[in-house]
Amino acid sequence: MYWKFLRGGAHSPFTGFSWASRGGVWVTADAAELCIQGIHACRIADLPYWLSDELWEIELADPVREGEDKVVGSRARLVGRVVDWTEQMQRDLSEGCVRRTGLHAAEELRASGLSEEAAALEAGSLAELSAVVVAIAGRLPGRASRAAVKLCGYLQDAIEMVDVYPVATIAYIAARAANQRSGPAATNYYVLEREWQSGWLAENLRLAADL
Amino acid sequence: MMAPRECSATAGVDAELCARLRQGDTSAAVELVKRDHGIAMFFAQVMRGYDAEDLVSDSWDELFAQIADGSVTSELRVALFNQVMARLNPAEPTAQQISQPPEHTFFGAGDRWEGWWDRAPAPWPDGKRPERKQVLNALSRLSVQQRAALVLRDVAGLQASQVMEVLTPVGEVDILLDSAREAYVVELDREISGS
Amino acid sequence: MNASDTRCDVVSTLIMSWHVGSLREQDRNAFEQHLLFCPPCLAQSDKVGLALTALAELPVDPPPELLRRLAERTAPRPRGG
Repeated sequence: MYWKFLRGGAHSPFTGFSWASRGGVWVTADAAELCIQGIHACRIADLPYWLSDELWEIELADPVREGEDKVVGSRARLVGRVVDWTEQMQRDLSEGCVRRTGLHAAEELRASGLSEEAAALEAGSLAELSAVVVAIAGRLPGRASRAAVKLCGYLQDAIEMVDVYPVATIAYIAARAANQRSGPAATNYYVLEREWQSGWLAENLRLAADL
Repeated sequence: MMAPRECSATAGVDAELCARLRQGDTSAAVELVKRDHGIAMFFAQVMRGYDAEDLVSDSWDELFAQIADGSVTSELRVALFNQVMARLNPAEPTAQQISQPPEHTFFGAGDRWEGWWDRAPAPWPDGKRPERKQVLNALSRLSVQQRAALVLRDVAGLQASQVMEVLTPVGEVDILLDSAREAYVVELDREISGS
Repeated sequence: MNASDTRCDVVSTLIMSWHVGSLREQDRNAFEQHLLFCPPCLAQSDKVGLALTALAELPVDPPPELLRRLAERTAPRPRGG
């Protein structure tokens, strides 16, 4: 079993193809003019890269090709909607990603020797975070690393955008911020952040393990 | 993603239609005209700038004469467009084309969002679909060659080599088509946004 | 092109290529993911898709008189007696 994110009304995010009008019937990629490649779907690890309004379980007929961040099949059918993926759940993930962005910023502040500021970012509630990061940002020039300044900037962006932009945007900001971490060069913080996000989704949506 | 539109009028199908027409099969005539009349009318209207029923009707007469005398035996859509082109006096663009889209900006070098939208273009209203009149108005502002290339390739589904045959373009068809598509979207956006 | 560092100024130049199927395979993932987390770019892509679809929705039915005339001209002529 795999999963597929769709726009509201069970439409393909890019082509607008209406899955809803097909019910649970098998759909071929060619017939639906969906994509030259085929019909895309997600394993659990792929989910954070494709976040959208609705999440569905989808069955792909063999052969299923494994790709980067997705799997592809030539025939598929929707099995059922993951009803727990509600607007509130999306908001919860967005807020979790804001928190994660704050944690990354805090680590960079700590690495710059600004432990007090780091602790303030980690301790504040989400509602307080905006005021906290604005206050901290004003004290950083000349004291903090470029990475710390940048990550505090991303934290401000995430806070400002959480009420206006979809969860995919906030999740991306968290991953992009993580990617700016000044840790070991071999560490892919972007991928690690996406892994955190997929773990969150699997746990909170009670998704079965990959087949 | 839109798969490139392919012409349903394959050489094999058209050769069979020609054979049936020469044998007096009237259903073949109906089939051919029903298949290609709409696209020919649209092409003529886009190129001429106003209704083109007479022009397309004359083009059909000439094509049927060519089928009857054996001078056309396949690629009927291409032959029809050639007839239409021969009768056209293409209208020049109705207004100055916006060669550059409206100014929108991206965050500059050094910004943590370098290259991302700073001032993004406005989206169309939710659920908005372009109307026929808006499409025709947008196309009327393209150059003659751009209009022709766009309709022949993306509406009529002709191959690039067939577009060359009908249009005799200046330069590469693919480059002309790229510029036509971009210009069409800019002009249609202008129609819909009212700017 | 990498999804982690795609930029709108690059993505916006690729929208048409994506719609007509000429975007390179290795760029397609990054491009599509960018659309999901960038609403302005997704809106631009939607415009292009609707514009190209509108081109295809325009045929006109042939008038009955034209059909009749061309069918008559196709019909075998009766042999002279």
